[in-house]
Amino acid sequence: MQEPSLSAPAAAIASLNEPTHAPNSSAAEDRILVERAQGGDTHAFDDLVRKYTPKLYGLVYNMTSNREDTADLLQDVFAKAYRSIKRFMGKSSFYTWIYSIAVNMTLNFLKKRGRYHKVSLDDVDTGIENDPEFIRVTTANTGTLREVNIHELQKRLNAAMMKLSEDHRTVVTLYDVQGLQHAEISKILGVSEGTVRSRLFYAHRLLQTYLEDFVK
Amino acid sequence: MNNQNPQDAMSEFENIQRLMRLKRFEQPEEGFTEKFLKEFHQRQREEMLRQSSLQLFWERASTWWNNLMVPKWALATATAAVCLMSVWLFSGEKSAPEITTLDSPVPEIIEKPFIPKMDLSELPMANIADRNNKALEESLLRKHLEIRPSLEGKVQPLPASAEGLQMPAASKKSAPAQHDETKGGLGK
Repeated sequence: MQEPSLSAPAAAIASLNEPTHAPNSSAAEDRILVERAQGGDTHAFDDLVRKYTPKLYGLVYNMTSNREDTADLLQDVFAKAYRSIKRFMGKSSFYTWIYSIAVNMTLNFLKKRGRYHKVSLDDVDTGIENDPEFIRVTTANTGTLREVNIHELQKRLNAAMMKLSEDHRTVVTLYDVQGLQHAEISKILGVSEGTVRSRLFYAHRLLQTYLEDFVK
Repeated sequence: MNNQNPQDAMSEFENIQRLMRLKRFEQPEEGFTEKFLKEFHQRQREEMLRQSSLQLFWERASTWWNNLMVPKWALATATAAVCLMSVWLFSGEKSAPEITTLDSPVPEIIEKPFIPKMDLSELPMANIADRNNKALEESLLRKHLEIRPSLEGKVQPLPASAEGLQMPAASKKSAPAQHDETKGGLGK
């Protein structure tokens, strides 16, 4: 997912206030690519992989907090999508369909991993602290964020996320990080919009407790 | 948090959302997508090769079997031999003592009345005719001679009155003993 290039810190803050929704214009493009892929055009499927890898990476990584697991899971997700692409009837958008596959596979993976794996804070992403976009937004956002070490902030955010239950973490990832709307999330998870809102509310309350010193 | 002003709570919620949105910058390093795609293609090829190698193995195995230069009559003989062997084995298994299970119904035993085989020759009167017993023969003959005159009507009829009941000497001997209740003993 290519983030919009921000020319000014204010613009960056403004962009953070609005969730990014799945662009409707790409739905038609997806439909064409899917039809070509269903007809056996492997290049069309490659285009779909190129388009959705960054988006799904953000989703899976924020749910697992591990880069290697994320890469492996994404391989499995696209392999499954490739095998099932001919059965995709187009009742929902490809966007919703591939997100559903990714969420379900990640939740299954987390259930299996949860039996023997404890996430340590060493698993957090160490590359983001050098991300110029991230630095610019965090340093510009002086109204809400205290001046903290960026690496420390990232660690705290990841730690707070990992304290949430899998269902709450999924909703926060889809809504806050991925920028999807309630309706889209309800379709992906197969639950009602009310459930999505409820989970989001409780997740935010928990995060507020975990990140108290950052938000006050 | 419960005593908070709703507006403050809302702004805290917004702050949380802003904080969490920072995580969208956690993106894979540059070139990840192309590298990922290459790996994806490699996996797809491996999967295809795995499938095709299995198909190739099967094809080769069937070809080898078809090209095996075995004469038809040898094959038929071998098949027949195998059949015979199996029949023999099964029949051998059947000849082994069978273990009866309790599930099978117990056969009823019909009890016939016991009839002992009697040797009639051992009876005392069985071989009476064969015995050369002179005494017995004579006694039987004497009895016969005593009874015979009465049967032929040579015995004098009895008198009508009871006073004239006197038998002749000869007839007295031959007349059967009669019980005389008045004298209280056997009449002679």
